[in-house]
Amino acid sequence: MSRGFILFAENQNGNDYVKMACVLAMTIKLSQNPELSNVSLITDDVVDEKYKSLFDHIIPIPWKNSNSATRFSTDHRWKIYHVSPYEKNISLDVDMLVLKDLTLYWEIFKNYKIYFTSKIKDYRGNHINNDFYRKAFTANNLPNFYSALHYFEKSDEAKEFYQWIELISNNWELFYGKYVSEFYPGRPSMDITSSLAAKILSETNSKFTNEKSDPITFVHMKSKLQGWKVSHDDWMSSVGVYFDRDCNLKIGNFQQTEVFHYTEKRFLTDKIIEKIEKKLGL
Amino acid sequence: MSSGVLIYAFNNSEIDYIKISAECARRVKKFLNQPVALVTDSVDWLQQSIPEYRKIFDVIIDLKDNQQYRSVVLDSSRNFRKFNDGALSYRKLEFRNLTRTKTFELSPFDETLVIDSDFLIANDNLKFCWDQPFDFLIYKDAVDLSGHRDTSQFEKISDYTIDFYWATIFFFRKNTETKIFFNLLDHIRENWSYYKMIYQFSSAVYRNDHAFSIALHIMNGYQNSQWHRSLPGKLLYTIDSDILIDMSDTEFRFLIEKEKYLGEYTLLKTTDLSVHIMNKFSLKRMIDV
Repeated sequence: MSRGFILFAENQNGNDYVKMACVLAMTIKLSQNPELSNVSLITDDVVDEKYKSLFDHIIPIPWKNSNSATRFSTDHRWKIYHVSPYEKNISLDVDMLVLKDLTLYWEIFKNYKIYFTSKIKDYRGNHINNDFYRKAFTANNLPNFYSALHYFEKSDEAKEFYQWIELISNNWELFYGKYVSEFYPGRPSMDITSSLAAKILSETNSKFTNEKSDPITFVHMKSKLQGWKVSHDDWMSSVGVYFDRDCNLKIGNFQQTEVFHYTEKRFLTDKIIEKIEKKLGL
Repeated sequence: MSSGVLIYAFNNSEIDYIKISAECARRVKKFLNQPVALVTDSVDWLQQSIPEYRKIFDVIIDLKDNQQYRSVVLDSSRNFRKFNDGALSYRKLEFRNLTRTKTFELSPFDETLVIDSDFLIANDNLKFCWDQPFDFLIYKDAVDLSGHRDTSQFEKISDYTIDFYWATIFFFRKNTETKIFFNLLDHIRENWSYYKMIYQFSSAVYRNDHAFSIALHIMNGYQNSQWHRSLPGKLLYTIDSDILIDMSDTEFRFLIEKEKYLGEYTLLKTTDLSVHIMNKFSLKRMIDV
């Protein structure tokens, strides 16, 4: 059965998400066993010729009704299920780097049709139990899911799940008004939409995640999650970034060994990209 | 394999670490039944002030005119910090702590528990060190006996960086890895300004706690990992704004500074608990009683 990483990128607000996707794909190639390093990209934007070989498929975003773009393209994300060429998929936000071998993740995912990360870490490797950015989840008793790293296997269950994602995405004001009335978000969010779909489909979260242990996780660099007493809005103003020629990443004084969600777009400098390209031989 | 306890005693102009070390060593013998080695540059004062010193200390390591350690002993005399005696009184004195990084080579034992002279043992919990398989033990978790003070300075060496470890007391077994650890520690001491900048803390004065924390972080591959393990329980401490007013072998009585009432104190008694007592002046007074 085919397995691969499925990425979605739509350039917006001056952010080159396609380039981020290419860099993410490079880190996948560098960190995974060759047979587990398939990557496909869903985008309507131009992919630089030199990066095209990173992807098995570059797939246009289907079924577009208009050119209006929602923040983080939340109105299109549900489509990944339908257009992915793989039977088993790990979906990643493109502002991430994969810095570890995820073979164990694939093993764990064998037990699930859909899996969402529910436990994340700060750059020091500590579990984050802080809901600074997730008041709506706490107040409305939504499962604490992170869609930035999730898994699905083509199946009736996953199809139904993504049909609900589609329904909620297309009618988010209606659903959020009913189920997310406390700390109402004011704009659609894939995390909230996914959590809401899970809540509608199942009384327990165990069908979609493992809340008791943390086999599946990523480092989330949003500033207020880092356990700092004093924090800036931008984490890069507080700690240094050290990226060496072997593509080892240190944030502050901490070696990063997980999937790394950098969130700040200025993190991805030309120098970092150059080092990754060089290591990969691009 | 030889085993024992190592204590450092470098007097400054007002604090008699030799006498404090003697009390510390007496407790080691009573509760842990281990030989004690003393590292000092005040052997003359030791002989003069504690005539029975040979019964208390099994090994004396004299660094006074030792050329090998001359520079580090001399540099120690340039390190100053504030020493409180209760909440209202303080003096700025030499803080002669630099030789700690030389522990690997100085210790005469294969398995050494190193303790600050102001860590007073009142139970036998630390016997555990010699009965367990791990080669480096230290405290990260600590309890301020006041219960009300901000302890953040003892949790991270700075808000943005690494966990704080207490160099007050640690155990090590001599081997290649622990030798690397102490070499690294020496390197950090010699390049203090650099590490101070990289680890984002403000203390200009060299601190063993910070150096140990950095070295442990590096030994753990720049991650939170388990190259080292924890000493048993948690480190209990009072700071130098508190005052020790009475002690026996197993009991200590403190005046703990009150929250928001400068110069006022609450009485606290501990029983069968070993305590790091940072107010050296009051500790010395109780030893002299």
